[in-house]
Amino acid sequence: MPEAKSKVSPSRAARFAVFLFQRVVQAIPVLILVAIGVFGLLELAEGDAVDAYLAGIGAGDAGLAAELRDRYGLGDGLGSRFLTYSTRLVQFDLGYSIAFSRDVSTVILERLPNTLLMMISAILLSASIGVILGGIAAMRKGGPLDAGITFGALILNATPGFWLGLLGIILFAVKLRWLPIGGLSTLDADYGPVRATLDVARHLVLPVFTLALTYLALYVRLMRGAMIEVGESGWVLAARARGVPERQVVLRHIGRPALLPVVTMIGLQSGTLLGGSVVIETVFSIPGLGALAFEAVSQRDLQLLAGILLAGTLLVVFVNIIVDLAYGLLDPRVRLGAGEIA
Amino acid sequence: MTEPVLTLDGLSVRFPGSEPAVADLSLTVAPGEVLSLIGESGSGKSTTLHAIAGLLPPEAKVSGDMRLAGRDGNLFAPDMDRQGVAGRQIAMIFQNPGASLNPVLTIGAQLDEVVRAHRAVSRTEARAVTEELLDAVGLPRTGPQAKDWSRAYPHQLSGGQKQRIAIAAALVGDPALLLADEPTTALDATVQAQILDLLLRLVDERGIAIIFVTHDLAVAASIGDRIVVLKDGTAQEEGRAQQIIKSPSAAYTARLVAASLPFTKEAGAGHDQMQSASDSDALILDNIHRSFAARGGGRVQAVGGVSLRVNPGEIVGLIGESGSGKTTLGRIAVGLEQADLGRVSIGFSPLDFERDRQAIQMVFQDPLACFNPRQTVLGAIGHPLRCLRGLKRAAIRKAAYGLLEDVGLDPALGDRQPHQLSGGQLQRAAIARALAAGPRFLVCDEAVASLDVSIRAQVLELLDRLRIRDGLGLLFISHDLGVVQRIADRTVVMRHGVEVEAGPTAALLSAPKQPYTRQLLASVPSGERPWRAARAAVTKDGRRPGA
Repeated sequence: MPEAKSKVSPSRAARFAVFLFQRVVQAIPVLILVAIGVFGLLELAEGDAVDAYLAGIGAGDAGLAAELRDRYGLGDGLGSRFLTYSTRLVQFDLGYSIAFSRDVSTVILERLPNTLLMMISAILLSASIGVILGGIAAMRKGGPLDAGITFGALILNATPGFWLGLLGIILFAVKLRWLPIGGLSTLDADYGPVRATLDVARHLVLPVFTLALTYLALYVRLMRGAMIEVGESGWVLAARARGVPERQVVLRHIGRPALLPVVTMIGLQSGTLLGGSVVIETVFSIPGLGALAFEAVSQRDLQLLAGILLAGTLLVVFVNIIVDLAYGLLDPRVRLGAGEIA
Repeated sequence: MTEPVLTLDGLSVRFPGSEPAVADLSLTVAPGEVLSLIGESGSGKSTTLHAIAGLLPPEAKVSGDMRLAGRDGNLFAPDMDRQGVAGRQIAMIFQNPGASLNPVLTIGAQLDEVVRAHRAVSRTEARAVTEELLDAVGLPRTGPQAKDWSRAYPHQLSGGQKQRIAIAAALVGDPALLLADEPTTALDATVQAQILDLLLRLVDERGIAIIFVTHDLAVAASIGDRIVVLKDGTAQEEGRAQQIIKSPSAAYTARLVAASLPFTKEAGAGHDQMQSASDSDALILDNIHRSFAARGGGRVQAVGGVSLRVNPGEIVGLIGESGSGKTTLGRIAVGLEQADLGRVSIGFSPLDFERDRQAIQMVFQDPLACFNPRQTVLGAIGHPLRCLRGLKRAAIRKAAYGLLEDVGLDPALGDRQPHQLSGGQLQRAAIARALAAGPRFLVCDEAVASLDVSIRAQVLELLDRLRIRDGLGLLFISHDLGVVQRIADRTVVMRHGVEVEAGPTAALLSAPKQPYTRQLLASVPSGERPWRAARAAVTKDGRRPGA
């Protein structure tokens, strides 16, 4: 666009820095509260990692249990354990995973990219398809196409994700053999970087589409409603009266303002980035954070679970800062430092 | 006689399931002519404009014949191609200039888009045309008032500036006809004068014909060569503007003229006050200050040290343009805002709004917006009776019915929902609710601004009756000088949060002392002197009316 800012004035850059700083400072109390809450919740859970371990190996006596608890610092009192926990957190140390016998941060960082890749692709795909279909439905409001899109999205919304995933596996992986059944990459294959990327992409097609389709109804309805509402606004009538071509009226004057609620919803959905994928990760055997959280719970690996929850919180805070910035791009009224004209 | 730009013959518009919005309307507009289309809400004047512009929703049934100069065929025919009409032959501007611009695009982007829709030019060339148009509507890129308007967003501009931009967008396609739908109703008097002036300049310089829709008789007569009076979708009367307002022939027009309260230099106003003006009864605002946090840091001073006094049985008019702080002052008087500094008191005792809430009540501009849509009117009136007067069920009902009768409403209306009442009925219900608390003073913030003239007269009469009967003191905030002139005993003029001038209404309005007051008065279209003639007369010595 010709009016794109070619130079950023220093005051604008400064305002941006102030904005980021404020948001980071605002996040600190949130993180502290979540950390305390996570600790409290996990304390409420019956049993610990030692119970789970002993149950797993099938035998053990009180002496072994006490020794193990002592080694992992589980035998101390509540206060001292909280002190250890919070001291470690301040040093960015998430602790040691008993179930995986490795540092919690290492385990999480290993799984994080898989989940992020899948969830971000799914949400963006879902939002894009939803925006397009919702837009079409709004423009054909009351017609058969509108009814079809709305009904279809609703059916998908009501379908459980695992079932949709299983159907996809049976059709595309078993019958047609177009796509792999599960996992994130072909084992034992020695591909170059390009083929390796394509390989991962091929593995992601089914889980990402499954997730995207279950979210689709939300975005379709959101976009449809927003388009209809914006379509009734004065500037749309004014643009038509000025003889602006209908295509531009729809894209610039209706579509663009209608994107705002969609962006808000993407921000809200980022909260499910980690948790929402347990089922799909299980169905498609993807080594992600959802599956990891499930293992952590069943193994009573509380340090790992706490680490996952904290990582999730960080992610949500981060995504919401990005959403706020995207808002500024879409709506100049909330743009940072929108004030006097030049 | 030259060929008319537009000929409308037997236009009828009907929305499914309701009475015809427009019935058998015929009119013509000659090049360079300004036709004022006047009527109250629901008269079909906006529908007529939308029909001409081709902007009616598909479910509207349109019949009749519409011809444009230089174009064959009836544009109302169902299969008629309207390609190239919108923006190129007919352009339109709207009442709310803020709503007619896309908030997420820059001014330049929106104008470029229209330029490129009508002319085969590159982006750079389009921007040049845009700058030219902005200059033509008084938003220059160079010179003393220069700003980079094209890079501004709508929210950074004032209402008048936005309307200028809407006019610039309308000019792009060099249209022969401009449809103006109440384009100055949302603007302050001085800005309205500037916009009317700009429109007439376009008529003179470019020979554009204008259909100017308004509910304001004075504006219609000031700008229009001819006037068509609409009621319930049919034309009541048509003729030369001056003739219509001086000697209307249709009964409806006569009523409209009688009910309109144009501001006149001569008319004296004010009543004999019930002078019990001892300090012990008066509402006294003493040296009120209030500032608000501004966008991007800093503070904006809304009210900067205003003192004001309303005696029982007295109506004090508070006038000023938007942003003058008059509404903030009114809200402080009823305790909706707290003053940073200064004191609100009745007599010698400062008001404690926790305790004295019922002593001062408020009536707002938009009655529909200030009623809970899910509560009956009676329920709304009963609320203050219960909370502030501590009445019980049966007593509430009885008192509420009494209040409805007091304001001249059929008590049966009390069981209706707010949206089932007309604007005038609802505003009277709002007054009844304000009275329910048993106040000694009322603050009316533009309380008659959204009402049709015939209803406005009834509401003003009601307020005056309450003043005489109950000795109610009124702080009457308004931008309408004609109304203030009729109703207020004393008037205070505010600007930028401070008092400019105050005094008895008749004296202040007939012989203002301050230049700002004089400018404010000069910008009000009186309807008596045609704006166009005045313009022609003064442009010779380089001055504009109202400037």
